[in-house]
Order: sequence, then C-alpha cells, then structure tokens
Amino acid sequence: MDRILVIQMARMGDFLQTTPLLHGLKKEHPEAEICVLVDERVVETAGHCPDVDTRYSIDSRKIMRCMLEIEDTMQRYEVLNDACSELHGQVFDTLVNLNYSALTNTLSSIPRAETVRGYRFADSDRSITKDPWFSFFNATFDQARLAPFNLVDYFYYCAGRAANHPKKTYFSVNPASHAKTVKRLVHLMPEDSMCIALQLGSRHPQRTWPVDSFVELANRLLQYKNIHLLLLGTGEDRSTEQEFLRGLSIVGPQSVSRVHSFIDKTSLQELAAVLKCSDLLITGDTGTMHMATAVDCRTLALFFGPAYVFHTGPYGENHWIIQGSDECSPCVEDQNCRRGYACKTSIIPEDVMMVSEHILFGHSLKKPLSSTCRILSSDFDDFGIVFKHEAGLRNECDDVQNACYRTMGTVLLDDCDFDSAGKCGYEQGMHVHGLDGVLQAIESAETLMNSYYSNPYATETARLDMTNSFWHPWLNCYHDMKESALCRKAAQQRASTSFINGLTAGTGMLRQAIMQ
Amino acid sequence: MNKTVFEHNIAALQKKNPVLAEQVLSASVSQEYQVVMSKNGLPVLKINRISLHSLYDPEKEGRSFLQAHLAKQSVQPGDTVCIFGLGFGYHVRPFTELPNRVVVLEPRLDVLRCAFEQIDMAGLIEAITICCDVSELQRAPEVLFAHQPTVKVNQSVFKQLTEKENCSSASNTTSLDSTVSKKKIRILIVSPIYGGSLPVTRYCTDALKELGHEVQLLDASMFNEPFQKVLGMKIDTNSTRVLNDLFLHLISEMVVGTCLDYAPDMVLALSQAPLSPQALQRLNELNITTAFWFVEDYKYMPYWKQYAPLYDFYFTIQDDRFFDELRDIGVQNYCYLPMAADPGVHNETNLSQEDMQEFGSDISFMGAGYYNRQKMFHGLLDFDFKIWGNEWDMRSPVWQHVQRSGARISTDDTVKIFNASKININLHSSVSHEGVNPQGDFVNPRTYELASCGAFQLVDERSILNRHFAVGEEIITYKDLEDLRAKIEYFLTHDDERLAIAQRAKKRVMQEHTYKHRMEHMLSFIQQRKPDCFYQKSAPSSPVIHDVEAFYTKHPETTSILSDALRRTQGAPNIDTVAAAIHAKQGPIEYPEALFLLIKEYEQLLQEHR
Repeated sequence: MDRILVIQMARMGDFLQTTPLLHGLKKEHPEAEICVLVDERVVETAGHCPDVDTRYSIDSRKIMRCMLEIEDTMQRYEVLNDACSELHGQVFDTLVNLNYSALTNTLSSIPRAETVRGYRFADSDRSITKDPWFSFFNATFDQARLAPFNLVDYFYYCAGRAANHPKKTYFSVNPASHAKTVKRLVHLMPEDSMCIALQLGSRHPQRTWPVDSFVELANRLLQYKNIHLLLLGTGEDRSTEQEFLRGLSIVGPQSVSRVHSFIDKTSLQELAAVLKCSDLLITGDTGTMHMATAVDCRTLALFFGPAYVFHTGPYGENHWIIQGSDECSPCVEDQNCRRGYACKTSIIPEDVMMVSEHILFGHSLKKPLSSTCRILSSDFDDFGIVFKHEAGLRNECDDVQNACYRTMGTVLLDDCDFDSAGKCGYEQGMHVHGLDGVLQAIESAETLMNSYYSNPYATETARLDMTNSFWHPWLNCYHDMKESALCRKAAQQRASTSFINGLTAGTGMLRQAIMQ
Repeated sequence: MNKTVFEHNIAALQKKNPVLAEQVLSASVSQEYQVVMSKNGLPVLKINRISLHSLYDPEKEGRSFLQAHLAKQSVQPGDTVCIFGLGFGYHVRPFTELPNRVVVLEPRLDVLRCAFEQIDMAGLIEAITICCDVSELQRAPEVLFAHQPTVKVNQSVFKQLTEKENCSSASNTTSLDSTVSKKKIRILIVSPIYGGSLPVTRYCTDALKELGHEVQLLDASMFNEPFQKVLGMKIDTNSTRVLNDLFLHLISEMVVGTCLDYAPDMVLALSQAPLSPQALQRLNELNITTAFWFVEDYKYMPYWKQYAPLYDFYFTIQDDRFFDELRDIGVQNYCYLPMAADPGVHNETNLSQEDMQEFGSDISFMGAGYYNRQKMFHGLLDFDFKIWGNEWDMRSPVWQHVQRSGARISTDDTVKIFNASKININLHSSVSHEGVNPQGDFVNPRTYELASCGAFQLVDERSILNRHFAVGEEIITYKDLEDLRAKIEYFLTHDDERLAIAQRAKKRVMQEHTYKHRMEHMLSFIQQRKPDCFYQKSAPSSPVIHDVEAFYTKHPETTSILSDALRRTQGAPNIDTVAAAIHAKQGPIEYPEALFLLIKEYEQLLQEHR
C-alpha cells in the first residue's frame, strides 16, 4: 500500500485549505494511506478530515517552551529527538511539503520518501528548492494584488493536476455534536429564527474589522425580528465580546437578548456544528471562515489589509466577499501600517448590511456606498475557484493581469500545452480562454501601456504606477522553467524593475514564447 | 578550602605580582559559584549554572582548546598570546609549552581566589602573566584567544577588550584576531544634497562596508537637480524658504520610512544632510542611534547650534573652544574626528604623457577661489603655476593661471593633478585673511588626500597639524608668502628630499588617517559611551556547545557533525557553526543533522518572539 505524507504545519485555517488536496489524493489513490504532519494545535482538526488516515504531529509550543527553559544544546537536541522520534524511520512513497520555511524543510528531511513535492532541500547543495508550480506560486505571491490562484488551488495542484477538482473544503461534523447544538439553539430561539454568526476577532489587528462597525451592523441586522446573532471566537476574543455587548446595549438595548455568545464556549466540533446550523457567517479572513465553508455555511467575508480575496477567499460556491482597499492594498502582514489601518474603514456597516440582505432575502444588490470597496462572489472555473465581480470599485487592469497570470499558470501546470489551458479567467476581466485569451490579455496590457505613454493620468484609476512590475515575476519564473525546468528563488527576487520596463519586456517575451 | 594549596599559590603570585596577590587574598568567593567534580575527578567551577570547563575531562578539553585555536590562527615566535579567562587553568596549561609569552586576563578576582583554593597553580603562575583588568594590558595583544565560558560570564569586559583591540588597530600597532567576534552593525548613511561633504559620505560608506558592517546609503544628491532649480528661481525669499523646507521634509520622510523598513542600528548623517528636527525626534522614538559628522568650520556654519543637541553623537573636526560651545548648549556626546583620505581613491597614479602635459607643473593649487587664495597667489605668478577649480576672479591677474576656464574638477582629475605636480600648494580657505589664517584650527581633507597620493605639499601652518603629521619630516608648512616662496624654491631643487617627505606622509596616512580609521574610531566612541546601543536590538548569540566531548560521548551519531563544526571555528562551536557545517555538506540530510538544524530554526523563532 502506498503511503503519502502531506506536511502542513501552519494553523487550522491553512489545514482546512489543504483538505481538497487530501481529498484529491485519496480519490486518486484510494488504496493509499494518507498521512499528515501537523502542529499539535491542529491535530484535532486533522482528525475530523475524512480523508486523513494517519496523523503525525509536532508540538511546536512545547518545543518553544523547552527552548526557553533550556540553554544547553545537548538537552535541546534530546528534546527534539523525542519530538521527532515518531517521524524518524517512517518511509513514504510520496511526501508533499506545503510550507515554505526552513523548519518544515528540515522536518521533511526526517522521514524517508521516494518522491518529494513542494519545498525541499536539494541533495546537491542542501539549499531550499521547490517544484516549478510552487516556484510560480512564490513568484506571483510577490504581487499579491494580482494573485491568480486561491491558496487551496495552489495546495491542490502541488500534488499534480488531477481531474474532478473538489469544490469545497472538508470537515466532518459529528452527528452527536450537531444534534446537541441544534438542541441548544432551539432552546435559545424559536425554530423559524434566522441564525447569523459573527466572528468578531481575528488573529491580527490588521485583519480585524472595528468592533463599533460590528455593533452598527448587528443593530441593523437585529431590526429583523427573526434574526438571532451568534457570537463566535476564542478566549482571546473575550474583551472584544464585552466591548461589542456594551456598544449594542447602548444603540439597541431592546435586541441584545437576541445575541447569544458562544465565545470561548465551544469545542472544535461544537463550533463546526454551530456554523452548520447558521444561515450566514460574517467574518474576516479567519480560520472560522474556512471552517464555515467546510460545513457548507454561507459566508460573507470582510477582507482588507493583508487579506486578499483572490488569495485566501472562502473556498466553495456562493460565498460572498467585500474587499476593502486602499492605495497600499493588499499589504504585508505584520508590517508597520503608516496609514493607521485606514483600509478597515473602506468597508462600512451599511454595505455589509446591504450584501447580507441580498444573500438572506434576495434583495437587489446595489452599488456600495463606500467608493473603496468591491463586492464579489465565489464560483468555479475548470481550474478552481474564481471570484466574480458583483459591484463596487473595479480595477480592470488588475483583473486582466490577474486573469492572464491565471491562464499562464494553467499552461505551466499543463506543461506548456497552450491549447489545453482550460477555461479560466472567467469574469476576471478575460472573456476568451486558452491561447487567444493570453493574446488578448497581452493586447489589453499593451493598450494600457500605450495609453500610459500618451497620458499617464488616463490610467490612474488602474493604478499603473512605476512600482508594479507585475509581469516580471511570472515571466522570470516562466523562462526559468523553460530553460531549466526548475525555477529558482533568485528569479523572483529580480522582479522589481519599473512597470514600463517590465510590461514591455514581458509582453514581448510572452509573444515570442507563444510563437515558439 | 585547601589552605596549603592556596598559600602555595599565593606565594607564587606574590613573587610575580604582589599587588594582585594582595587583592586575591582579600577577595571572597561569590555564593553563586559552585565547584563540582568532573567525571575524571577534577574540580570544575560553575558560575550561574555555566560550567567553565568540561564536566567529563577538563584537561583533554584544554588540550583541544589549544589545538583548535592553533589550527585557525598561527602564533609567530615573539608574539604575546593573550587568553581571555583563566578559570581553573586547564586550557591555559598547554599554552605554557609554546615559546611565547602568555598573558591571561581573568576579569574576576574571586575566580582567581577560587582556583587558587582548589588547584595547585604555582607552576602555571610562574609560567604566565595574570592580570585582572583590561587597562593592565599595555597594548592589544598580537594574538587573543577567548575562553568562551569566561566570555559568557563577562561579556561587558570582553567587549572592552575588543574595543581596545579596535583602537590599537586604528593606530596600526597590532593585527586583529579573527576569534574576536565583532557585531555587524546596520547603518543608514544620509548624504547631503550637494556640497563638499557629499564625496566624504561615499568614502564613509565604503569604509564602513570594508569594516564588515551592513551599510545603506540614502543618497540625497538625487534631488540636486530640482533643488538647484528651486535655488535658481527668481522668487521671493519666503517662497524659497518654503520650498527648501519641503525638500528637507521630503528627504527626512524618506529617511524615516527607510528606517522603518531597514531598521538600522544607527543613522549617520554628514554635514548639510537634510534631516529635520521632527525626523530626528522620530528616529529617537524608534530607538535608533543617530550620529552627525560635522565636517565644516563651526565659526562659519552656525546651523550646528540648532541640530547638535538633537543627535545622540556629534563628531567634529575642531575641538577646544568648539567643545566648550557644544557643552554650553547641552551636547554631551561629542568627539573630535578629523578628516581623512580614502586610499582607494586618493592614490599614486602612473600618468600618461598627455596627462602629464595637461596636469603637470612645478606648482599647482586645486580648490575654490576664496579671498585669501586670490590674494596670496598674486605673489606666485612668476612660477610655473597652474590653478584648478572654480570661483576664481576672472578680472584678477591670477585668472591667467586658472585652468579649464575655472570649471569644476572631477575627483579623478584632482588625483591626477596631485600626482603630476612637483609641489602642491595647500592653503586653507579664509574669507577674511590676506593669506594664511593664523587662527586656523582644523585640517582640511586636502592635506590627507595629497599625502595619500604620495604627493608633495606645502601647507599653511595650522595649530593642530602636528597632531596628525610630524611637521618638518612628514609635512612642510609655511607661515606666509615669503616663507612659501622660499620653500617652493628650495624644494623645486631638492627632488629626493621632496619625494621622501611625501612618502613619509603617505605612510602616516595609511597608518592613521584613512576613513576606515575614522569610522572605526567613531563606532568605538559610540560603543564606549553607549555600550548597548548596537547590541540591544541584536539577537542574543546562540548558545555555545561548551562540552563537545560530552556530546560525542552521549550521542556518538553527532561525532562527525560536531567535528566538522569544530574545524570551522576556534573554541567551542555554537549552533550557527554547526548548521553552517551541515549546509556545507552534500547529499540527503541525515537525522542527527536535521535535529541540529531544527534547534537552529526554533532558536530563531524564539528570538523573533522575544
């Protein structure tokens, strides 16, 4: 029996985004033992993934604590030996390492594997190397604004292109937990109530929508007498919960009784069950959002700061997203914000309410009041998830480039077979597929470039500034791949010349490549 | 306590160093110290859980210490070997077999006391010199070996010792020891938009890089063209001031923005660098050390009064009365830092015939046409005299000698002029004297640059010139026109003497007056005044594997890894060295290797969390 190990050492949300890959692997290799290596905090989540047969874990928090307490290298060595002993000696047919870090690279070198996909140490010089597909991913990651693929799709295709791409993430809700939760909710509200879950917090202030905005939104939602709100979160969200309830008791004291807090009161299974019972989850870019999509709960995700819909938007059909933006969007996580997180206010409660009413009651979708937000909904093309423009601020130039990147990505994945590039770019600015689509995208780019030459201000709305050399990363990657069948990190790092140079060179090179 | 052993040791020390013996007698051993027995029965001192020697076989470890160091650094006969840390002396004894003088700096008197109580060291005491204070080292040792456990428990003293080495290095008395790890400092240098200190900024940048630091230059000269256009606009003074302020704030914002991303340990600005008080305040809030090198005459450039108190460190080319004035306005950390030369730029050049034709002359002057120069050079017009540079008076008879119609001269051509002239006149500028300024209290860069080129110069008398050159041997001065004429005539007919003096001046520059020396001195001064300023933001160094043998013994699978690491370093390796050794190999990563790499990765994560 084949053994396949997937390494995903990031958080719960990242693991859930890996579940389509696990599902695909299981489908492709039904006899294989699908194993995962995860952080100890995620091991429970992995246990509820229907496609996982065996779990290995590393308790990073415990190791960090030991490192803090112990300075002696020999003792540290022994701690790590204990932590990795289970993995040591394991043999796999295929190992897929999804995390780009020296730490997981090292971990991936502990078991023996015939084939290693994703990131790994090169045997020749022990430097970090990666599959062409991940090389492409890293190259485009530098230009997050043009991210052509959702992270789930990146993960999924890391193991190779397979048919029947799953259109959702996976998490099994235990029937007992579900029944218990239904009972609990029935106790809290009448049966015909509409449950809307609110995830108030997120792991980073850059991604967290202001509490007073949540209060205002809640007050509006609670104008509907059958709506009950369920507050979700962990112990860390306690103070936010208090602030929210204080605020709501001032603006809408009569409706506070229809707010039920589950913050710090649910197990993982219970959280999933609550979401399964909810009609809608309103959240930022959080692990809860990924959990909701896995249990088929519709989401309205509020993305801003470093959160970018095309990159980590909710995976599944019929989810909705409001993408707030500022001139620096999307930014880099943990970077000092010199604009005081102004992009958070680009999403206003009135617009969130309007989209919620559209989702819940089928009210017509209007142009948002905020001029700096965009409303999108999720759908699928042949290649994976896409996010359709529905209303609001649209940057067509970005869309064209994004779609072009996407087509090129499929080409790369299909080993440069342009004709089978697949139907992608749907509703992201490109309306023709395959080779013609690429050519059309080039023409669009050239048109934009020419208009930029003649009057830079004409394309100002498209934000064609000199810092965005968005063609370059991809082309470097593409050419490296053509030359050596293996992209290198250096290729991505070179991608920083001016827009015009990048675009001119990029379109030229691409034309040449197509002609070949 | 074994009194007999202790008394025996004290008696031996009394013969060699009675003062130290008295100090050891009156010292008491800290309660934090613990003497434990190694596996082979030898006493080992532990300080705050740090063992100073191997807990298995300290003598064997001592021998390895010597071998490991000698493998990395050769010791020449006659060299003084300095060992930082005596401990219980196991690692010092093997050194006594070398034909060299061995000095051991043990910073803790109570360690000496403890050692004397435990081990018979009389023979060792006779063979070596022991001292307890860095200041007792007359000069930096030729070879310095650091006993890492001692370094770990005495980091500040060790830092002092390495600084002492830096100072000595600046005066070229010793070579630096590669075992002394130096902190790589991250420095952002801010240049002026234009002006004389612009090239100096570049020389400083190169020098700091050469010293191994990470340097980024924020070159404000990119704004020179628009800035000059603004200066040239025929608009009222107020508007000009507003526009100047906008430039100041624009560039200041760039500096602050760069600092946010680049996170330097220090920002160094040179004269006229456009940094606003608000920007300096923000750098202060960001806990970034700021330093300014004021390479101008404070008497003519009064803007220093506004800015000097805003910098953490202020470096000047004048001292004495200027220092009084800096103190008066509350500046505390000021330091005299004279100008210098960059031997990479200012050097001896073989000139082509065409160059000699163009640039050669008996006497020359390169520089701007300041008032005193215009006046004094009237008296030299009967010589084969070429004048180079701008701002010369076209109406003056001197103009006949001005080359290239008074155009600006590039640095490359300046070096050619220096090399091609038999005698280079160096006259410090003055706007109020007819010739030599008798109160001149700084030395201009040209003095060092000419010397660095091996070019002969006659320079006007300056009160502090003899601090930098031996006047009469390395450099010749003149006090007035008459004196200058006499010396020109003399040296034009004494070629050998002229060339010898120039060579001596060049040697002095190479030894003491390069920008590398200046930058070393600057950093050393800053570290002395604010010892933690470059250390607080840096990650703590990774723990050292003190007892490699114990590791081998318990985990034989690590033997080859640790042996490789030992070969890459002197003394005990740390996890970085081990990781580097692992990455230097080829082939799949082995399990023990992976465990070491994981230690490094988790260590790094820990530091990020800290």
